[in-house]
Amino acid sequence: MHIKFNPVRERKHVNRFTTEGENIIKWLGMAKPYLSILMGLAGCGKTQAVEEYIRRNNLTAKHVACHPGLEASDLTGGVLPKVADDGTPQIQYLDGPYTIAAKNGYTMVLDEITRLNQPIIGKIMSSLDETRLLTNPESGEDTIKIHPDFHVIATANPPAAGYNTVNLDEALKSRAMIYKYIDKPLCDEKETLMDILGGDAKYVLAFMNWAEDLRTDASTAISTRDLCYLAKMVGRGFTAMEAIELNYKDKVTDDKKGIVLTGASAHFES
Amino acid sequence: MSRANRMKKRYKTPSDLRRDHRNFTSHLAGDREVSFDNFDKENIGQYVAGVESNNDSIVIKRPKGRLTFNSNLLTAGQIKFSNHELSGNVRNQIARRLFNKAYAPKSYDEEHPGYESAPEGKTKIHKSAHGSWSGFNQAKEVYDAVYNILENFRASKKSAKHFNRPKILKDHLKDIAKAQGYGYETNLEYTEVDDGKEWYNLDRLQFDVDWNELRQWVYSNLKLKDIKNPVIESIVKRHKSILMNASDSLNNISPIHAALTVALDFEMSAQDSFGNGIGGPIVCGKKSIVKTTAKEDEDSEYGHDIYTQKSLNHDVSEEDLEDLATEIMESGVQEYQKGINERLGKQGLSQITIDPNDDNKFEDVRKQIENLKNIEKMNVLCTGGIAENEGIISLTNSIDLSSIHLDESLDRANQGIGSRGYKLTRRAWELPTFGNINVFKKHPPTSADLITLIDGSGSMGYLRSETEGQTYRRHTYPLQQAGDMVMAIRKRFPDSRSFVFGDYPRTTKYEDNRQDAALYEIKDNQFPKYPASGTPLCGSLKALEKEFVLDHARIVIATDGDANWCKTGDPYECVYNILTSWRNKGVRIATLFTPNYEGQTMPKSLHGDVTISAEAGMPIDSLQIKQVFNFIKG
Repeated sequence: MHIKFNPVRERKHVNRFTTEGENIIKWLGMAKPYLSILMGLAGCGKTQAVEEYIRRNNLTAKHVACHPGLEASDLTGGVLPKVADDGTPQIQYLDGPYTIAAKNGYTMVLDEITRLNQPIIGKIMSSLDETRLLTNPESGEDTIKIHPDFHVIATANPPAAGYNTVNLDEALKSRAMIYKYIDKPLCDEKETLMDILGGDAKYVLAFMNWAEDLRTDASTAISTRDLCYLAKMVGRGFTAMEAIELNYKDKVTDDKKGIVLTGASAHFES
Repeated sequence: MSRANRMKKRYKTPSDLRRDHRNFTSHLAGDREVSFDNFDKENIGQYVAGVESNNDSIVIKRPKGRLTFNSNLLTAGQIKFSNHELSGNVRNQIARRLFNKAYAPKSYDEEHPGYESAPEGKTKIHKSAHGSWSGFNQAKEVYDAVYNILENFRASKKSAKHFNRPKILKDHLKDIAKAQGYGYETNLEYTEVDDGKEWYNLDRLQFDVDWNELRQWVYSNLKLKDIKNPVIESIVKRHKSILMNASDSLNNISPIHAALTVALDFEMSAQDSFGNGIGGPIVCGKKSIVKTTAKEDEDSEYGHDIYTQKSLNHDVSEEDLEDLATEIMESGVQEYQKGINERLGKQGLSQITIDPNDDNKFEDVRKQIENLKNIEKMNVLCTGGIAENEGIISLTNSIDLSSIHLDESLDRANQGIGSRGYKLTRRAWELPTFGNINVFKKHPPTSADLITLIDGSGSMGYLRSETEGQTYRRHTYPLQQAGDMVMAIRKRFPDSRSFVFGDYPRTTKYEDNRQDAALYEIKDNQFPKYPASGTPLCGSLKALEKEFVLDHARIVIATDGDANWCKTGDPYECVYNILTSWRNKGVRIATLFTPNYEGQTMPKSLHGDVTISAEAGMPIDSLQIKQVFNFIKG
């Protein structure tokens, strides 16, 4: 038998967090309402931990996925066309998600904040320190009173680690009560894979050992997200080798493909 | 076609297999350097596939030709699970401690000032150890042999388990069973100390050792009563328990401890044996060799005696041996742990505590160290920024640039790399409605289309003044070559930006915000003055990253060598990793190598798209300029 493992069926799984993940969820609550920034590699579970914090505490949240093309008006609000009650087009100021969250005391999740342009950072800076002021002259309100429960949580990939990101402004960093570099998966990968792969411990161990080999070097390090995708693909009938060829092989540079596949063959083929 | 058959042929040729496995093994080795030593197939049996660690290097020994997948995975696992760094630390400690326990004769110290003095009251040991740690090569050789046997066995079991391939271990056991002594016999020789004799008259003490017998005993292929080599027999008899524990243990410190104990016993017993009748009993002797086995060296015209020692006297008490071994282990572990913890501290990670006796905790520590190495590559600590210069000097070209014409059509084509046009923002509707013309934005990548970065370190030399340039033309410094290239680039691409990088200005202005590297801009024909610098290239690259949107940018880096200052740790690794991440983003990088002298090694960390080499001491020529322009034009 060339393929080592018997087919398994994908099972639904719940998010399981490591001790570190559970701590992050707890610490986010303790830091409220001050800015919290979680830095870490893509797919390590930062956003999942934030979502879990929101879910467990029954919070209302606004989400913005940051990107270089985002403008201040997209975040805090701007003069935009709107259809009036009488059906005629009107130009009027509309609050953006950030302003809505600030006024109502929601949790504001800024995903991938290192992809955000500097002008927007400047705009929201004063709302993040202890003065908690959001100035919005465009709206005519000038200074907006921020709700005491308004809590900004940002996640980010580290700059210069193969991501299209920029360095975080030092002033923004200084406003963060939590500024944490996540250096290991927040998800309990082993337990989660056990869930997905229907409790097949040997298959799970092969995935974990293969991931450990890849993580010897940053250029091949696989994220928790990709690891879960691979397990799901296996649960949907792909062999592990097929799943790796389709999902992961082409995510690494050409000179690393051989390493990914040699490792995969070592762990998943006999 | 069944799925199993479809997946079967992954490696079509032996060369693919060799290359991929070599890469995979090097990948698992991380930042450790691994070399491969292939022995001829006819020597299979005399050697076995495995890892040999000695003299700070790791060598994978394996037969030439195509190997089985499992055989390749065996050595890959042996690399992965071994702690050769710690072993190297301990190995070096052996020499240091034995040296301190032994001596350097006063006369030798006087003749060779600077060598460490012997502790008071110590006396002579064998000649080769005079005044130098390197004299303890015999102890290191014993250590290497025992450590490699034990560690390969332990790691092969770990490999089989890690890859879930029991056949790896099964095949390895078969290979070992077939192994003969030939490749593993050594001859350890000690030379007597006698200041009254010339070197060629000094007697020697020899030990013929068949390490294969020790290996076969460790692998349970040989019983103690069947061991023929008396030295091995005496080692096994004395250290049976520690050797057996080491090959059964899960943690990689046990083999180090066992090899250390055997090596210390061997060395001190040999020293003590040879001390008799020459300088009296030495380090910790109780009884000594009786030179009854002396034979004259038949090949020697000098007539010195060679004593072939049949066994070790083991005249060092077990307690003394254990004390010294523990002392060296603790020292080696502490040194290793301290180094790792410093690196962990730099990255803000929690510290480790290595407990050689705790197998379970040990695996966590191993993973934590692997994680650290990974983080170090991702988390660059070096910083930099643009700084004000400390004055200006005139930049005059030392070559004729008149042949470089401004070809606008070529330049326009070149702008395509970043889109020079203006782009409307989403507030474009304000233009007709409110007449607001402030609705354009420049596409960010254009701000960093083309940047030239010049190494401002001392080794780059200096720009000759106009007067000096006219009177003294015999040699062109690397900085002048780079300056000429900058002028050529700026003549052709006036929008490009150019910087010299170096240390941060030492003025009080930057006292609160001094970073690891500074960029000093070259404007028109004005070359900045800057403080004397090293080569903080990683910080300079981070400065570029901070100041510009580098997507799709083209960067020319002129330097005469690799970076040599880095806050993250290893400047070579740091530069390499930053450039890798840039290239993944579409940044293209050219290196203008301006060597200081002919035959100088090219900087390897700058793995750009192209390297253009200038000739040492000579002005740059039109071909080199053309090569740079071709790179810029893409």
